[in-house]
Amino acid sequence: MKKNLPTIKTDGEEESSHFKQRRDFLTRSGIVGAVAAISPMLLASNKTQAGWISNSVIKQVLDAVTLDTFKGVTAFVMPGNDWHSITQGEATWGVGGLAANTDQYLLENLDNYLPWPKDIGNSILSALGGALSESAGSIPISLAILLKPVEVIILNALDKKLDALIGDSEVIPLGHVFSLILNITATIVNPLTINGGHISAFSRLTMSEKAQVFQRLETGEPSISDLIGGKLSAKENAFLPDLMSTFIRSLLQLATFGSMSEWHALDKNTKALNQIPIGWQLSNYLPNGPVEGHDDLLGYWQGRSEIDA
Amino acid sequence: MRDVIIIGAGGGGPVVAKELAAQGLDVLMLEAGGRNANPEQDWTHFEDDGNNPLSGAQRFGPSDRSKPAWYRQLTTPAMNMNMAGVGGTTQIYFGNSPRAMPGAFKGYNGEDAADYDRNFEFPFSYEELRPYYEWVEETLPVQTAAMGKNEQLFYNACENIGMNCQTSRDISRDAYRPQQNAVLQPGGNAGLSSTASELTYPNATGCTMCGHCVQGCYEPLGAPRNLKAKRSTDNSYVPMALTADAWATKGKAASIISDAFVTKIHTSNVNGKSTATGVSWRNTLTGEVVSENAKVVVMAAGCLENPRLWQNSNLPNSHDWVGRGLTDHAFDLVCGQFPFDTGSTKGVGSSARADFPGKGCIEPTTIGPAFLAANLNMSDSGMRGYYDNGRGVYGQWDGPSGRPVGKELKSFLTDINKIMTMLIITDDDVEADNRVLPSSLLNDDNGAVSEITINKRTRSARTLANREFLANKAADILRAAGATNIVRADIVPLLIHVQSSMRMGDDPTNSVINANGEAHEVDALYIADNSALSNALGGPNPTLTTQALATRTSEKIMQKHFAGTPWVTSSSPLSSIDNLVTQAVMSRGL
Ligand SMILES: Cc1cc2nc3c(=O)[nH]c(=O)nc-3n(C[C@H](O)[C@H](O)[C@H](O)COP(=O)(O)OP(=O)(O)OC[C@H]3O[C@@H](n4cnc5c(N)ncnc54)[C@H](O)[C@@H]3O)c2cc1C
Repeated sequence: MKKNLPTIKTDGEEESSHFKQRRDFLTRSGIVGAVAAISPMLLASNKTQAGWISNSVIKQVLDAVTLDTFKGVTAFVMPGNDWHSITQGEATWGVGGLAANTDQYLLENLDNYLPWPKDIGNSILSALGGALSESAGSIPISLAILLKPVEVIILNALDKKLDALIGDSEVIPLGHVFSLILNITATIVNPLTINGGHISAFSRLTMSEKAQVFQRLETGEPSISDLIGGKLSAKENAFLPDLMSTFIRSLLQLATFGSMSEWHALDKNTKALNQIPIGWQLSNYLPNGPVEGHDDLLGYWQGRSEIDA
Repeated sequence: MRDVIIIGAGGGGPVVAKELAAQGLDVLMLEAGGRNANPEQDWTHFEDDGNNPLSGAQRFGPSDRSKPAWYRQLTTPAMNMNMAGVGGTTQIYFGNSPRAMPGAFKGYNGEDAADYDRNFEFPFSYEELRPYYEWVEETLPVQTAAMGKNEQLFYNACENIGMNCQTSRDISRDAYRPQQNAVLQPGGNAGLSSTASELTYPNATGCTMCGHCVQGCYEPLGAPRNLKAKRSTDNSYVPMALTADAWATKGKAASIISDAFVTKIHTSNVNGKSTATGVSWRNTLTGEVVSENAKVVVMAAGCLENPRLWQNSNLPNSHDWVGRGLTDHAFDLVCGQFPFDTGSTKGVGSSARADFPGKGCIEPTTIGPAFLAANLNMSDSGMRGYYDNGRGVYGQWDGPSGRPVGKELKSFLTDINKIMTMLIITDDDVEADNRVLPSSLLNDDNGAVSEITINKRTRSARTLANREFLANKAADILRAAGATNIVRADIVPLLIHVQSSMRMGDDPTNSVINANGEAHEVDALYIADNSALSNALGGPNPTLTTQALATRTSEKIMQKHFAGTPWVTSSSPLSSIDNLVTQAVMSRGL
């Protein structure tokens, strides 16, 4: 089943409205912001020309959006003294989950290990692209991110490439799908976050706005499922309730699990810690390091170490 | 042609393997996950390395950890936690081995009889299962749990709210007690030292109270596999099955093949009835498909995989009960924060419990910070302070139920040693709409994947009322223990205890297997894991009952297909820690 985002036409009335739709999608999903943020690097790579963009460049852009979005998620569940926590208006004195590289943790796990069916992410992305501009409304000119001409060229090239990827059912890594959904929903919750300090719209939200994003996705009022349901096949639709609520729960679970676990501090080859994990410091877990046992034995309750029948 | 092929080496399968190998049958166990032959080298006590559901050593997925986990489709919010690999989910279980509530069985006529799931009782009496309980309790062995700080606090709190202590194995009234655990009691330095060098075998024996049951047990270091503290089947029944020739007079060592995902059960028509003849499996490392025949096939792939395998094999299902009636103990979490150390990260996963016949059970648990934080995030009640997802229930806990986030979560976890986490284990009803099917949407290399439906919010009134009762009771106990802040998560179904999806019953219109464990509609096909249980047992943790039932089913197999006679009431079992087993395990490098 071939799925495409609505394509960008090159001339005429209809074409420009398509272009605007497309542009809005890319803006809301954070991709425009990422291009603006990293285009000097792209240019330096000297590989980007109109109409052609390498896979590594597209990955660089998507990774930038996704990691920034996941930083926003991590600050939400386990805030610290980092910039993302400060932006959301809920920061703490000491470090939080971001110090444990939880953004990287989420990206690695979702991209490589989440056993969702291969092309479901593409389908959702494609349905979102089609549905959003219909219901979310177009982005007012005053909020549009101003791009340099060269960045517009990059964006157009990237857009074509993304479309080709989706159309060919090449698998879009799920971490990216997750982050695009969060960002698009973020711009619905607060349209002003289309533009601002971080790469991703989600990371520009306040704590309670972030909670609203999760609420919309978890409870479905109004839901992304409703938004895109009509654009998926019946079978894919059947998968959606699972997808959306599992998506939110998995993301929050993984973000907290990553923040509190040893992942960032474990040498994968020797299986030894190279520092006391941040989560252990935050929770005073095993203050003397890993153990094989504890001197916790107090005997047997009421002296009974066995019962007969 | 084998005598018996067993599909799945988890909580149930290895019991049948050991029992029938001891009778001299030629038994083959097939396990979809890895062999896990060297846990001391391959596992760690770290939470992500062990329990990451996507990439950890303890996941439902192929033994090659660079590959994604296996997928299961959830049509209603839930979280899966079952393991692949020899030992199955018992690799990460706590070893709690209570017997079922007598009220879950046929013929129960106690005063509280109406309080149980009477429509779906076991097709025989509790008394009939008792000798099989005793047999398994001696084999594993099951022992009374030692006490640490966490348990002492719990017992005192139970006393404070006027509860009695139960001192029998049978459950008869509301009471608290030390767990009967499939965990060897601490011996030597175990429990008395925190210094690793003092905790190696034989200076330490049994449980070292390390607090890492959920990452799989390989303590004490250096102990032979069958003397590891926790009696997960990889440490107990599997070593016994593989050495049956060494310790049973007429025994024949069973074989095991890991990385073998069974994708089809073969049948032929014998005397007008479908009869199992063998299986095909896929080698998950090479993709090669292999077939083998057997006189008897035993399904023990777990509650969430048996229905899929049945349907993918096109076996008969004329009453449409295959996969139906799934129970999950409608878990919940109630956590208390204390102004003092509770010892909450030390000791066995759970060493204490309180039982409420007709309602369910409560147990304090030992879990690490990542696990706790992630489990709190399974809430079905939204985010405390932001939204309640249409729930946000109030009770004896503080504020509405829900997941703490941001500063609240961070402050809740400030000192994991000052927390006590109570697991709510509800006696939930068998309901036809809670079910496992092969997905119409998704396939993986092993066929259509399992599609699971268990709708927490529409559970029976009895199930929901039991869950509320237990959550309030848990908060009462926490308060009596000294908790100053109590959070109820109100989680979505956590599929840790899963039962009854291929249930045993007399009536073929609402069950899949008969009272002997054999399929109503397929001869020579038996089921011997949690899916065979008739109901949710009244709430007690299911594995001991599954193992007792699997022992009984082994006798039935031996009688019907191999002209054998029952042995449980006429002989004594050998313990899996007996020296005969240890010697064989060591000499064979198991
Ligand atoms: C954290 C945790 C704590 C727990 N604590 C307790 C406790 O204290 N007490 C208790 O009673 N219970 C406990 N449980 C539950 C306990 O683990 C299960 O009751 C028990 O493992 C069920 O046994 P089973 O044989 O039904 O399934 P499993 O143990 O899940 O075994 C099924 C096996 O079949 C294999 N398999 C699946 N499909 C196939 C196939 N097609 N081909 C070949 N192999 C296949 C799987 O890989 C697996 O190894 C706990 C569970 C968890 C997750």
